Amino acid sequence: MSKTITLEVFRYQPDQSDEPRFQSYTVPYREDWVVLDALNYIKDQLDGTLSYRWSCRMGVCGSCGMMVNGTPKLTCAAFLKDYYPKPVKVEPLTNFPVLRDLVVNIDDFMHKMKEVKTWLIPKKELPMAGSGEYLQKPEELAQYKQFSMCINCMLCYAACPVYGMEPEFIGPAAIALAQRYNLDSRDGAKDERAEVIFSGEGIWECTFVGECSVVCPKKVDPAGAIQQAKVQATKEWWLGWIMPKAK
Amino acid sequence: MTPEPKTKQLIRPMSPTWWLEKPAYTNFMIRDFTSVFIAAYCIFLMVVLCKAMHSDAASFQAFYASWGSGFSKTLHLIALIFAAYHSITFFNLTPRVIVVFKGEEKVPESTIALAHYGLWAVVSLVIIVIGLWV
Amino acid sequence: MARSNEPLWWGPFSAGMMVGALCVPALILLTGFLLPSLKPGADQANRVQALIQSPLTRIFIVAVISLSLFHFAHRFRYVLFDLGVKGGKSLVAFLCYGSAIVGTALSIAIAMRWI
Repeated sequence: MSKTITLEVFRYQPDQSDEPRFQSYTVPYREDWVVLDALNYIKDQLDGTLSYRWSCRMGVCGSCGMMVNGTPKLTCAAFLKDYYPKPVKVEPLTNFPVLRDLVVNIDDFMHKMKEVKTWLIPKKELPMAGSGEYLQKPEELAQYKQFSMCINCMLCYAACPVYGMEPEFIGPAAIALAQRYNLDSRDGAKDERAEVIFSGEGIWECTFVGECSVVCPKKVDPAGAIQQAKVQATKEWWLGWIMPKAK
Repeated sequence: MTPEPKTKQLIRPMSPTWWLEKPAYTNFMIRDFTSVFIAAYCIFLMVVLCKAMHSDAASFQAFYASWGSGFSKTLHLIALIFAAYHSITFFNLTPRVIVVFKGEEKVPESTIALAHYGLWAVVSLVIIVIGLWV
Repeated sequence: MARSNEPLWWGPFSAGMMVGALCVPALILLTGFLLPSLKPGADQANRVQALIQSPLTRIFIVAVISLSLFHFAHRFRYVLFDLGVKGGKSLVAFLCYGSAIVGTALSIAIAMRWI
């Protein structure tokens, strides 16, 4: 008799019922399997109606984030052996609306990324395309490199109680990404982003619970990024009063 | 702000006792409540300041003697526990906020935290020495 | 959206966090345990009173009190929100920061012997 493990999977099928429920599946237990492998087994062998997102299964695409026993995890990196023989509870990321089963609505996050302009806005355009490169020294790269590791998996939003209570909060990843570009020597849009991230819905909502950084699979430390931005915003604000011309 | 959903979706509201659901959340709540105990001690400091500024020597002596009571020591002990918890959690978090680069290398987090602990030790020593022997 | 004026509060809040972390445990140790245990008696009481009356000590004590109260005010405002008190945001802010401002004014007045 080969070993098995039970998955308790959150189901929400709005076409059938408004109420969510849990469904148990028994799948083969293999030491090298992750939760995503077990979900794929369910989808292929047991129940084709189960919906969830995944793509690369190697911790790069950031699409398979779910709550595994209450903790936000990339399911491609959550090994069954860390839970065996106890059952594994799989739920959609908290703090997000659920569309179906394990699929959450990420419109809000996409919208926020757009608002804080998480892309490079050069200080000055090079005169002609292809006429050169925007040069950067290694020590300039080091300033923002950590924040550039973000894969937009949204685990940090699921871990953030402030986002859970106040969905208007810009949130950890978007602010960390704003800092990623703010700290880039080639970028010139710091002030544009400040209008959003230094607003009442930006960094000031954060109370440094710190769980966003704990669950981050890429060690981005969005909580650190937010506090650093608070220090920077506070310095700028007080300096603006003391010597208004300095800005 | 937040875009309107185009399809039916399930909203799962947060429980008001969310901070009891994970030890990390509970520790956060305790950390933020330390400020209440520190503020309470500051009320005592205000009384000390008031007595020192306004009382004659005899009544300040009586007030000073009351610091040794069991009641005073109990309150001080409670305040001390929370104040120390604040200091430790605060110094542990400093490297996340104060980031120093030496060229391409980040100064290690432990160095920044240790520097703060060192400063804490020096400041504490100065306060205690002045209070006891000056 | 526009930049918030939150730094007005966050400045004293963060200063209070630092001052509280550095100075308060030692002060509590001193007034709660070291002075009453090691140096009881009228002689030390007189010296402590003289020490507090010196201008530098007064500035130090007022600074500790004021910044710690701002630290408390800011944290408590957010703690109430975290605990689910969602209504009356501006009333909560007014009461929290107001108590810190009143406490600061009061301790300055005491230190200056205005009251």
